[in-house]
Amino acid sequence: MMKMNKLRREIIKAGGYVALAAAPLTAFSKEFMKDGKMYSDGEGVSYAAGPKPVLSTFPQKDNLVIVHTRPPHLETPFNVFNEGLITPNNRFFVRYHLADVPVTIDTDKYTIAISGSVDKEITLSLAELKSIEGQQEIVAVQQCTGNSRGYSSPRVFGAQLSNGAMGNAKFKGVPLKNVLAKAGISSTATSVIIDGLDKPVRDTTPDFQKSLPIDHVMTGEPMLVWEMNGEPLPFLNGFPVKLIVPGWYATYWVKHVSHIKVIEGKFDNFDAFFMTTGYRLPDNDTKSELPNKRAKTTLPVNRFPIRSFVTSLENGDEVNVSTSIEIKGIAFDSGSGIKKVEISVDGGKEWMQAALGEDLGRFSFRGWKLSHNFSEKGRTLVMVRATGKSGETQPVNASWNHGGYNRNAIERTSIKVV
Amino acid sequence: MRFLLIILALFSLTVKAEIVSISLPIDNTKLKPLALPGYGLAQSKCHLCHSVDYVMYQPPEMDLKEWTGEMYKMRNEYGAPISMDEAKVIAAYLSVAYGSEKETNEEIIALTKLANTKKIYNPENLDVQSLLSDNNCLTCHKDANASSIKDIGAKYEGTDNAVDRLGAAIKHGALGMPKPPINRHESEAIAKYILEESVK
Repeated sequence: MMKMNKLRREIIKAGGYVALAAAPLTAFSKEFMKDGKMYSDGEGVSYAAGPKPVLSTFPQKDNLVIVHTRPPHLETPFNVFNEGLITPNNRFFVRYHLADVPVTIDTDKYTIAISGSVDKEITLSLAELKSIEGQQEIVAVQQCTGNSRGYSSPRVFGAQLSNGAMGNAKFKGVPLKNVLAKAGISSTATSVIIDGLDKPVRDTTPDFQKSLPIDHVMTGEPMLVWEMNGEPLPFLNGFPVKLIVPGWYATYWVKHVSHIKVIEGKFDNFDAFFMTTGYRLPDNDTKSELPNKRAKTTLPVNRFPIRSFVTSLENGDEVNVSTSIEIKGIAFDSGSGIKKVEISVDGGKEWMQAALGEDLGRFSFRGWKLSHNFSEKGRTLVMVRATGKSGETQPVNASWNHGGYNRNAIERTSIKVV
Repeated sequence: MRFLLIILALFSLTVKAEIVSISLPIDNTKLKPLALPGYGLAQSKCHLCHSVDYVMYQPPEMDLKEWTGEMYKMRNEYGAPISMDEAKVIAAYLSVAYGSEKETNEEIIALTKLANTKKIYNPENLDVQSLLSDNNCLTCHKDANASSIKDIGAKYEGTDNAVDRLGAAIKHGALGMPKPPINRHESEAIAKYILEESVK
């Protein structure tokens, strides 16, 4: 009982703390040219070494923000999301954790091993994988757990991402459960461990391996995919096969899948680091904690909360008074589908309902737009709030956690009516 | 540098086989030179596993305490081959070069002195007895309180991957034991010692 009260106090304090903290009004990275080179910076977000370069130095990738060079970590400039609901392959973000990245793959020799608590251990070639029944195409949002980490207040260590560590693509593949059925899963299996070809440089560094509860595998949603937007996966997005877990954070979307192990007990060895230590959130309703009072119990991240963005306006933009302008953007949740999107142009006093665009599926970005005529001159905040068919909506203020994960506060864009 | 995608396509009648290769850009990221001992250490250690834009784009307001926590994480979680003292010395440099500290801060000066007296850390040649005493393991792991070394070893002895599993349990602080500030080499050195002791 005492424990529960204490936890509740912590949550209340966490809420109060966040409300007091100066929330950055802006949430958009901006690209700009300097001395003939392109850079990206977010207003209100500063980096120790200044703005990050926007380059086309990585294979099959054009004009992406360089978050880290080795291992590759590339972010999509935000204006890409205003150009269409599908993120092009050459603009899709890239994130590796470990620097021993595969650079040569022989698709004829590539295999996926399935071992552990199965009737018979098997090794599938690509051709065998692609012959498994139940193939399907699905449009799904892939989003980094730390997307928007740069806006954490107070700031936290980690890749200082703006809002571009996400993308929406059409994937083709086969449900993981159909693949596992080829090996026959034991009735007492609890989890599936997924490993890819990317490895640590040193043996003292944990490998990047993820586990999924068997119950989630059995929903049929997690899939092994080999095509993205009608083409083979870009090399740095997991060629030739990656795992997708629609509605769940991209940390589970293991690239270059090479080994799947079905287990009955706990996944708690040294290489379980990215489940047992990394990618975890406080185990409370708001998944929040205080900088000097970390949550004692945490859980692995899984589904991402609902989010929405204005894509047609950037911070600092000027719009003409008494002129009809079209405001547009995107919204998505973890798979219930978007029910409504509301816009406020007066800092959150009144909300107007936007018109939803084409429905590409419940896991996809949903476009929306609203025509509006600003009647008064001056600075104002444009805010956007989405509600899912599940009833889930977005909080006014961002909660805080030390990993800088899980942001889904109502985004605000500061503009000037002239 | 434009990308280089070499596709050597070898066609057979039934299956299209191909070797797909990429070339990644060269990492030419560099740390900011400063007259602090941590600069040289950081130069020789950080690049082992990652480019230093990891460091350069962190928030500029992080202080010595925060950078020290981050370096402990590099050492203990990601297995950087540095001692705890070296972690502090690198943190002192990073918190001045990329954080909120000044070279003239007392703590930074003290860490420069520490760097001049420190022992060289050799991750390949660990002394298990010092690890046990430095981490106060034997304060609890004696007959009366927590399980003795012999009891623990007996529990794991003969099981699959005993060194990996016992090593991970030690490293993560299983069963309410405080998590010690050690890396994988160190936790597995202790695990091996415990397993050897249990069969003596």
